[in-house]
Amino acid sequence: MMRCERVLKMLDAYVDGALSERDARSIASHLQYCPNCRQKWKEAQNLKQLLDDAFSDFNLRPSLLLEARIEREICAKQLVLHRQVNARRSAVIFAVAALTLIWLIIAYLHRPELPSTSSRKQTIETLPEVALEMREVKPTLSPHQQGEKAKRETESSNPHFKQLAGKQIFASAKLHPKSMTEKKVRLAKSVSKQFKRNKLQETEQTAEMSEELPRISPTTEAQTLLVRVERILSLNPANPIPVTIVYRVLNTPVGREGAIAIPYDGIIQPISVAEIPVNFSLQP
Amino acid sequence: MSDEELVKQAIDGDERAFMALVRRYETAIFRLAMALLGHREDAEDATQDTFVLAFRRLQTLRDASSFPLWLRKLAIRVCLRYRRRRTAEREFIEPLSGERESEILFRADLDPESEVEKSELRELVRRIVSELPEPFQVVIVLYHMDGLSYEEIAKVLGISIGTVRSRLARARAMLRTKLASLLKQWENSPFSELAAEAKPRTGDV
Repeated sequence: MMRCERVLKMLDAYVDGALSERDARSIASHLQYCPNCRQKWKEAQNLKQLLDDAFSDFNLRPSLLLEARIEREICAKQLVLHRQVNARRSAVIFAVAALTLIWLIIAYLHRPELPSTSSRKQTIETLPEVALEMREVKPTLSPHQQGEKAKRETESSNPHFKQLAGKQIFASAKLHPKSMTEKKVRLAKSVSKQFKRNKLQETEQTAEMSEELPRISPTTEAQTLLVRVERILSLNPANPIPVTIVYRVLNTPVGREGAIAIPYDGIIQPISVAEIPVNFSLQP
Repeated sequence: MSDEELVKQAIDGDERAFMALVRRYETAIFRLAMALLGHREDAEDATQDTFVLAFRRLQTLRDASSFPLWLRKLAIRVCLRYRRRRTAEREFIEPLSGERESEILFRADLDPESEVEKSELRELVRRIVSELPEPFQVVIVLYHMDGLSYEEIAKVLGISIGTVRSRLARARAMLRTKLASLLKQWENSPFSELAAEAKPRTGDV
């Protein structure tokens, strides 16, 4: 059975019909035998009635002009909103245009000395393919022929190489990490670090490397070569093309390392290990 | 056209749809503003500000069907801002003496049978309600004038139903105290039952 204290606490909600059915039943049964709470209940009902009455004739209406005032304000706000949206849109367009212009200026200032941007991009993108290779060597051409072909292509397309190939002088391969994927960037960075470390001794080292390049015996059988790129070199630091790749063959007891210049004739095709002549050497 | 459809069109930037909503809720919001501010000019200004605010924030309304409650929520916020500003101005100009309320309560010439007096009594009750602290005044107005349920009041004010219940109970307890003196004079009036509250309590059963 409910105590009076609890009933009185819930009496207003009971009068408002806002109690759960169970609580309402408990209070109703309490009120049947408790005259004091019953009296309070009547008072609560009267107060509720008084308040309902107090607001029942509160039928005020706003002036007829209010709607027009609101409409005018909203039209003004809408106009301001439109202006803000237009201003924001103009600002975005201006910012994009400015950034594009800045980017173009920077790109122009740092342009490589290439015949075209597209061929340069393609070259850099195809370079890392060399680093991944584990491919079959298909001796469609004799190693000697392959070497001759590569040499021919290189020489025909690269005056620097033509000039410097016999001297075995290599310069740094300045790749452009921003235009590469992560893997490519890693490769480029490792090459760059290695190059920086050895910058002062580069010519000497390269010459030594060239001298040490062992000849890999020609083979008529298909064979799988596991090749790791050791260095990527270029003849011209400002111009990464043509690129010379110094590689190491890991799984052949005969030859261990070699180098190849990627031929360049406007568009460079992806290089695979199959194109690396097993007996290719840059030594004249 | 339903509220929901109008709200959706208004969200899409249709000003005419929004003006249809204004026409539909203008009076309700104005009445709410009048109950909270007690001043026609302020109430109209507050009503206008409420609709302008609603128009600006319409994009934030997640459920179009809750527009009427959401609008009341904005109206209450606007009205309380007006009220605080006006209170500050009034306190600056003429500090409250505390005599006004007792003057009204102890008017000896009230005749409960007269319609005029009844009307005056209603006005008096409304005035006493308007002098309650803000949170209590708001729940009384929303419940007795707007006819909102406990649940709807909870949604409008962003509080729990339990809090609504306790606020209403406390607000009415305050009103009983304030009205007691007045009702004491009306032992034989239609409101005579309420006068019993003015008598000292003999204790609960």
